[in-house]
Amino acid sequence: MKMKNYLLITLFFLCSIQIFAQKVPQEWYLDLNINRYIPIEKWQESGMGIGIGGKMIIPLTKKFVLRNSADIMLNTYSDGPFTATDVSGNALGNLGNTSVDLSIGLIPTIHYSLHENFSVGTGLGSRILLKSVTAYDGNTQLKNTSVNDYYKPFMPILPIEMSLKINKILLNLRYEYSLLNKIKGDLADYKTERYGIVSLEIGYKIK
Amino acid sequence: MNTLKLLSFVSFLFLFSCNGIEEILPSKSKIAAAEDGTSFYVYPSISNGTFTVQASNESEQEYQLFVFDPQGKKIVSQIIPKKDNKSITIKAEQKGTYHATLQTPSSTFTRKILVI
Repeated sequence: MKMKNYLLITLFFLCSIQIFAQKVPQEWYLDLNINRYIPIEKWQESGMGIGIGGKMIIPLTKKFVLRNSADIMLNTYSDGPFTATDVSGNALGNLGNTSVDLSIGLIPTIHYSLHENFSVGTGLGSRILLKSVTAYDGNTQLKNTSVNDYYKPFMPILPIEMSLKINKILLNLRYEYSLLNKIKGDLADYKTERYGIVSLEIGYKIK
Repeated sequence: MNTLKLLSFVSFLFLFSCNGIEEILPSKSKIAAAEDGTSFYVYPSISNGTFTVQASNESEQEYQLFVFDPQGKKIVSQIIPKKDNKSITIKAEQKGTYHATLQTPSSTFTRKILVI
């Protein structure tokens, strides 16, 4: 499915939730999250990140609720070894590096209550990449960063969640899996990067 | 139910206690992509705008050499005949991360070039 179509469906879904939500009682949460970005097949290059977000919970039946989550996240990871070479092709050594992605997540899910305070859920969401940069160690020539424009700005994701509610606190553990190759353009035919993000959200009920 | 909660929090602890970003050690060898004497170089890998991609094919099969601009668009596509080599000098039109890829019948090797 083309990105544009997917985005339209997601927006339609989110608008539908909003219209539906006006007629039923809702719960609202503010979240802080810590996350771990895990490159698939290169999990050793994963790194920790942080984010903030919010959540709207709409009861559907006694056992099912609809959740609409949004967040803004910083993810870190290593972009793999980068070998510096001089003008003659001699290797000068590998530069360590750290990549940072800033992204927005829009993640609607349906949760099933296994217990009064414990639920599991899944859905179909989106992660919109706002900026991706890589910082290289010890290279002042580079001003330490380069922008990664070869990543797709829009990524459909499959989230799997489990939640525990303790009074006004909602703990939510989510694993989200990228459904497409992160690389865009012709390069995607020769290089593949997929990822998962594990995030632990700590939400506080505000309404 | 308590067991399920316990398992959940154990998984939290495991996932967030793994090591952080791997430290990359200095290279001790040249950056050839060795395969039957094949070599693949990019230099300089940190450039102000001009860089060279060089590959030699010592095998009995054709290889393909590609270069991609910072948006991932293919800007060079060349075949390297068997027992031959190519050296391509690129004058980059924009700053960012370029990729050079050598595709052999059995493998694909990719190198990054930073144009600053």
